[in-house]
Amino acid sequence: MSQVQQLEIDRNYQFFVDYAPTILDQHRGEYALLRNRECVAIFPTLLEAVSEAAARFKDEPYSIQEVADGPVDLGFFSHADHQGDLR
Amino acid sequence: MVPLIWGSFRMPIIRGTCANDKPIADIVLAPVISAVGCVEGVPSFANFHMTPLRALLDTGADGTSISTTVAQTHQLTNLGRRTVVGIGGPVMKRTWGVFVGFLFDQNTDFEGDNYHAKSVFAVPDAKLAVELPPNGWFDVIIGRDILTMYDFYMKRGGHWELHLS
Repeated sequence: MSQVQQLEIDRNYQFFVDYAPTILDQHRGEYALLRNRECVAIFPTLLEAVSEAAARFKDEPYSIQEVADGPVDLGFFSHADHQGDLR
Repeated sequence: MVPLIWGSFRMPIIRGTCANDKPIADIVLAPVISAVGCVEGVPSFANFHMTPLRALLDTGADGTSISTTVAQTHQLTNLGRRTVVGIGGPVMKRTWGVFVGFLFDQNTDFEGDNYHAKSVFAVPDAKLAVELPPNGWFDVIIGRDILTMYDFYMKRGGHWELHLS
């Protein structure tokens, strides 16, 4: 992953944190295609978003964010003490 | 979209017994983007890395997550960021697009003899998986985004079943 792509992802994420609440009611659970700190389009599935990104941007940087509110809970791992080996 | 199954027309049932009180299943992964600009429209057998991964079936997890090590070995493409609940508060993690396949045992008849063979049940929808720190417990967490697509049973004695139908 190039630094250019990582920078694009980080910038788009900063934009998306403020933008997501404005589209949450209509697009919860869908996927936003982002480029240059703008939302290019929103798709119902991840595959549609990735396909559009590949067709439109080819090897240019972009990012995809799920439209959701609040942090995701990883269940066991979010609440476990990350010490030792449980195997 | 119909789930892809190789070598069987029957809907498989994966069974296990909790190891250390945790249900662990064998799975395989395929990248949604196998190369720059190349999108896999459907999970194909050839794209799955057939090295089995240990996946925790966790009804308390919102979604799918993958260890950083697995993401690197499978050459997954970072697509974005996601804030994750952590012990010390929310933390930001990377996300990757993947197809998930469950490995299951299948009885096959070859010239009158019965054999056990491994088959793959591919979850049809691509998932945006969140980064999981490397750990010695498991490689992947399968959360409610996938478990709610099927029937998952916990039974007395620590036995569990996942009905992929």
